[in-house]
Amino acid sequence: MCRHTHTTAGVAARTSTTMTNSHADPAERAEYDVLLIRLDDEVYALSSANVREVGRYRQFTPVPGAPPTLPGIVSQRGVILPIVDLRLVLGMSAAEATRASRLVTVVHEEVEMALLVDAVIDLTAMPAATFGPVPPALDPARARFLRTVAYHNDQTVALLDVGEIVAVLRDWT
Amino acid sequence: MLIIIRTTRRRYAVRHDDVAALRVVARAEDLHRQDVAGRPYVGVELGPLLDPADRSDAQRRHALIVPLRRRNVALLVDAVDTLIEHAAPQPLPSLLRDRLRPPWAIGAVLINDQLVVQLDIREVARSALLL
Repeated sequence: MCRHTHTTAGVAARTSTTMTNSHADPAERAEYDVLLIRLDDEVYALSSANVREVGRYRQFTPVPGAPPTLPGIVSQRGVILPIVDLRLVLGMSAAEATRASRLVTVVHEEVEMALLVDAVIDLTAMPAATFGPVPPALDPARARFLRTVAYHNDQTVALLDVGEIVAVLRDWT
Repeated sequence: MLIIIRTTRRRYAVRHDDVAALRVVARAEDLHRQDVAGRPYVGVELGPLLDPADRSDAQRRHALIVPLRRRNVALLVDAVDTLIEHAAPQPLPSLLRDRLRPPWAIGAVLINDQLVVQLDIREVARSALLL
């Protein structure tokens, strides 16, 4: 994931052989193709079915009156995308962008958006058997955005629910 | 046609049809003069209205005169950059547009590979009168 821009077209092709239904429960499949991202010191995963593109962070255009979670817009191949500060969505503190920061373009139904993340770690296939339920002790404000949790390479990885992120961004006032 | 204006930190686009006149303002007191109909100008700094950190220390200002029903609002900016005759602004993504408070931004236009937010300058002027 070191290239400036990485489309997931190739990944989608591989995904089709390993994922019969991208929205099915991970436990029903042998592998689950995900993009691993870092927020603060935590690792999260995005289903490759949602991911369109990964690009280096670049200065975006702030929009007056926008909430902190949706601070601005960026043009991606002629399409205007809203920036989503994923740290703030998950209840983390704001942070300055660094050289490692990335914009991950994701899509859910008709909504396309650029997620601002601290870093992209890898695009990988995780065994479905490693996934389990979200721990009940987790903060409900954050747990609502998680579909499932896995233990991968000595780290806990939480699979983000992009649909829930969109729903909450629409409803937050 | 769009007018591209510049505050200290940002550029914005506004519809030319929404602006009655562009004036150079050497002193803030000039804004208290009345127009030909005897209506006073209400002067408002546009930069800090949109972003509290966007403040100018320039003396010489440009004013966008926006006529409302009973008053003229003079929105002060650092500069008027350019006029774009055939601009094609795109609407903002609905996910963002529906969350704007206040809803002054209505679109964006790509100029030299940079997105410039388009403002509903009449709505900005109306709101400025209430502040």
